[in-house]
Amino acid sequence: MNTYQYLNSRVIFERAAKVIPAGIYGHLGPAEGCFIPVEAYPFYAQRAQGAYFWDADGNRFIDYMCAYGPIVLGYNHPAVEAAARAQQEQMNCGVLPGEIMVQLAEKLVSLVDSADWAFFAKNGGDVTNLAVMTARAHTRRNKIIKFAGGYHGVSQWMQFIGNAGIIEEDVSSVITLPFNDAQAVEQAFKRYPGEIAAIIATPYHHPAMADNALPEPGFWPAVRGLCDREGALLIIDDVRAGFRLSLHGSDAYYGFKADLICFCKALGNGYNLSALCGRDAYKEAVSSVFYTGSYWLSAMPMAAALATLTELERIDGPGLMTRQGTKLTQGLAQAAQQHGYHLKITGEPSMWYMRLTDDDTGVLHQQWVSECVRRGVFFTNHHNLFINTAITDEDIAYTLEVAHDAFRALRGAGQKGSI
Amino acid sequence: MRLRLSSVYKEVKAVNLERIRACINLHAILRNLEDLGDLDDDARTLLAGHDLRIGMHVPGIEPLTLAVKDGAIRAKRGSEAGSLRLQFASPRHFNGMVGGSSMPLPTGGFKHLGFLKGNFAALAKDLEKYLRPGADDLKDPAFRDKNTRLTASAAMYALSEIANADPVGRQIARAMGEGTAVIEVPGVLAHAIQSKDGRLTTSRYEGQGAQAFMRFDSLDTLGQVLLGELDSYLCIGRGQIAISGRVPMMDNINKLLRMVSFYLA
Repeated sequence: MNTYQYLNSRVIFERAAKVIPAGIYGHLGPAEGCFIPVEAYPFYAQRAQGAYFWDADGNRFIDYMCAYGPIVLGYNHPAVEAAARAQQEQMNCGVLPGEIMVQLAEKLVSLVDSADWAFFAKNGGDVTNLAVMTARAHTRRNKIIKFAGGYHGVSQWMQFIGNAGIIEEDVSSVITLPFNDAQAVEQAFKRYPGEIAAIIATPYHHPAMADNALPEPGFWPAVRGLCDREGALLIIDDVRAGFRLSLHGSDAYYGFKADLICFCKALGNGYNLSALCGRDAYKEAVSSVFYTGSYWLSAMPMAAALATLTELERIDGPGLMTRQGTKLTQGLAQAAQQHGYHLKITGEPSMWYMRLTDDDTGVLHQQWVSECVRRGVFFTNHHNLFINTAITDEDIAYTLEVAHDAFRALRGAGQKGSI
Repeated sequence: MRLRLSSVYKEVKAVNLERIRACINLHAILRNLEDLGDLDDDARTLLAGHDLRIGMHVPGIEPLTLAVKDGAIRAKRGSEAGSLRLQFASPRHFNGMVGGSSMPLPTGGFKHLGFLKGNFAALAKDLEKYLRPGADDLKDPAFRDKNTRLTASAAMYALSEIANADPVGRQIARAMGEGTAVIEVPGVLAHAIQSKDGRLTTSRYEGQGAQAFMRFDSLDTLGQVLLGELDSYLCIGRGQIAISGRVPMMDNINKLLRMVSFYLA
């Protein structure tokens, strides 16, 4: 198989280096995006369609990051684009919201089990932060429980001590516990009676750079019960998993009910929108929080989101993504086995995490992923991957061909001693 | 009452800061005399013909022994009998000596006092010349080479001291997980930072058993990053710095490196 070159990407990067911090900052950049080795990765995209994107050098990739989650129906989905265009022609950013805001809230309330209302913003971090503020407003308590490795955005309280710009006071009200450990949650409530405002957690544990873990039987019922007993709120951060497991909320998928639930990524198929949904009991508290933004009530992303949800419902998007994810991950694991490696798959098939377990450093896995990228399959080595509904059986078959070739390259490099 | 508590807290913080600086001065800066002896002809001349051990004792901090022999220095944690023993009254007293404002109290091995006042003082001055260079010094490639090696060594050893002594550093170290991270310019220099039981130890890397890697493409790149002339994030994009293996471990090392610049400023 031919491997890609990225000359234009590098030329653009050198221009960026002069005017943009780090060239590309954040998770799309080579540093935080873990482009290892960096020469295997494109830096800039030119266009995207369906399951694919093309980089600045014209190389085509099947995108298994789906823009880190938002692309759930494939890029430029016709129904979503038509709805967005129609709304754009009417109005987007205005001095008053459009009726579309109410329609979208009604849709979310009808779909999501734990939603009696919806509050819109832009990014996932906007609504995880709002959820915590709402819990504090409602309970008049300070402390928050989160689980080790859980990611809830980049506000100061969600970060870690030692991160640049973070001070001890930012994180001093956050208690970090191991996921799937209801006993630890109970002990925290005993240690801080009447002080814990909320628990915030992803519906299953999908940290970066670590195997993912599904909730153990009894974990969520126990946590739900503790929150009820202690008067704390249960916040589900469904920013990443939302609408990939179930259209009714991932809490419903795992058989419990959140008090507040946060959505973003898949909500608008790439149009920038997030939503905090919750139960009636917290409607007054969320209204009391001073929280707003210039673009939060823009109408076009709301029209796109309404179309996205309607389409996901029509085609049973979560079911389709689970089936395709299962086919793909089983094929990848078999490919690894055929070449004498062990590829461990964890998490849910529609947004799986994988790693080669054959060395304890991760170097081998980083090398294999980079060989896939050089051949047009865009994986990352550190994060869960994503399926979207545009990925076909042909795409999966091609991905498996690439995986085999990447394993052959890995074996060859290993024999030459370059890994 | 609140004011009094606040002032006590500030005093405790100041004492801790003094102690952490003393740990760094002892086990990262003075330890660096070992590397200076290996790199610098003037240092080798000052060490030639001497055979002694100098023990540095600072209350509350593991001692450092500098063994001088065959024109070289070897630094070792802990004390050894028969040394020229330098006792300091407090971390502040020791930091004062490093800063040139106070003198040590020799409590044993008096026959070596001449070496201490003459050759050792000259070595310390030589080291300071490389660690606190003037702008013109850095125009000389040979000087810059030594500056980079010695600054890198000081930073790598300081990193472990901070991880073991600073309250935030300790939290970062605990989050690292166990294993060894290597920072290297392949074929030129390599430091290993081992994380075990929540404590870090820096040593020269012998080429085996590491889990995380940060590789610089040249000594020049490393030097420019240490001097703040190059942005390390841009270097990653350009392939001048390659990180691989256990990324979270290296991520935490980076956090500690940021703290090093605070303490060494």
